[in-house]
Amino acid sequence: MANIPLHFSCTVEDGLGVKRSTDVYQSPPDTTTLAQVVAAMGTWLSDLDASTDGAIVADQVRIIPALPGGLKSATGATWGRSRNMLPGVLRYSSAGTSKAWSSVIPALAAACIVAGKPDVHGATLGTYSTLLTTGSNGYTNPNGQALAALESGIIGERKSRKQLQASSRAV
Amino acid sequence: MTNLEVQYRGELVDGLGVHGDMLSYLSLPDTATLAQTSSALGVWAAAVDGCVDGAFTGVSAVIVPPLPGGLKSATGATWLDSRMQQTGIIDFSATGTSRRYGQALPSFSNAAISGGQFDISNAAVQALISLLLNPTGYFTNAEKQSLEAALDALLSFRKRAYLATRSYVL
Repeated sequence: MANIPLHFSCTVEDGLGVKRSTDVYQSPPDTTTLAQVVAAMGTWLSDLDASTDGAIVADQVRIIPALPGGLKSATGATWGRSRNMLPGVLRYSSAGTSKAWSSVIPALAAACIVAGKPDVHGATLGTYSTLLTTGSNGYTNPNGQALAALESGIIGERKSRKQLQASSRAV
Repeated sequence: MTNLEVQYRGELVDGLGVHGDMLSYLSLPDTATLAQTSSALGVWAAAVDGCVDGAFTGVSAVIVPPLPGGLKSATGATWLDSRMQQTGIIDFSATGTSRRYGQALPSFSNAAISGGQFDISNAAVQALISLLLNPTGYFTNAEKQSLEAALDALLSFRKRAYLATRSYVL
């Protein structure tokens, strides 16, 4: 049994409409259920509420486990050539809406690009899409509507000018 | 059993040192354990890892539950008088470090101020301290070190001047 770090935060609003956040940290055993986590945060919010004259208007729990093993590290030629500004954008239909939702994959792998387009029918992107559209996995759009099927994919461009200017290039 | 809205977040860095984020959304039953949630997050990260040439630097799962019942609402004379700048700070010791951890309490209640000072004997403050120090609550500092004891407290002021000026009628 391991302990998992948690971060509880909330936003407090005062009588002038000024908002500020405050937070606490927990490290409970990994056998704790999400219901217990939410209940624990509720207890903290109740005790905090009694100590402040402001009103708590929002809350959030962040679960921060260690990185799982087996992921690639920030080394090697393939990683050295990766670019976050060239994301893959995969478009999914969702249950109960005609509006599509897109999953953005930063630094899309060169191996997932065929003829200048995302290889949506290839094994790798196919595995990712199967994970997101298999109902029992629980994936949704931001409105809580279950993802149904992959519709299309494109390669986008998202500039990070400040970061790029700060990165170490010899001029 | 209720379903909770969850966000999986991944932080990635590319070969130029540029950082980016990856988000997916889920609806998970609240009976799921932290172990199960972490495991599912790992499966997601592994699937994403195959699709990217960037490297993960961190993962997290974010839950935004509804606010619990019984909290005060943004109405009434006491709330109108509240000021975010008035901040109470309780200092705690933590296991394995000589450094203190300060818990900030924004718009600190006037009811917990006595003689112009933070009244650490105030019942609401004592209830909060007891909660944070309860071993079964697992509260820690930001470095995952368990909180040991409340050392002292002070009344401070954290200005939010640019927000405050919006709310004045000129």
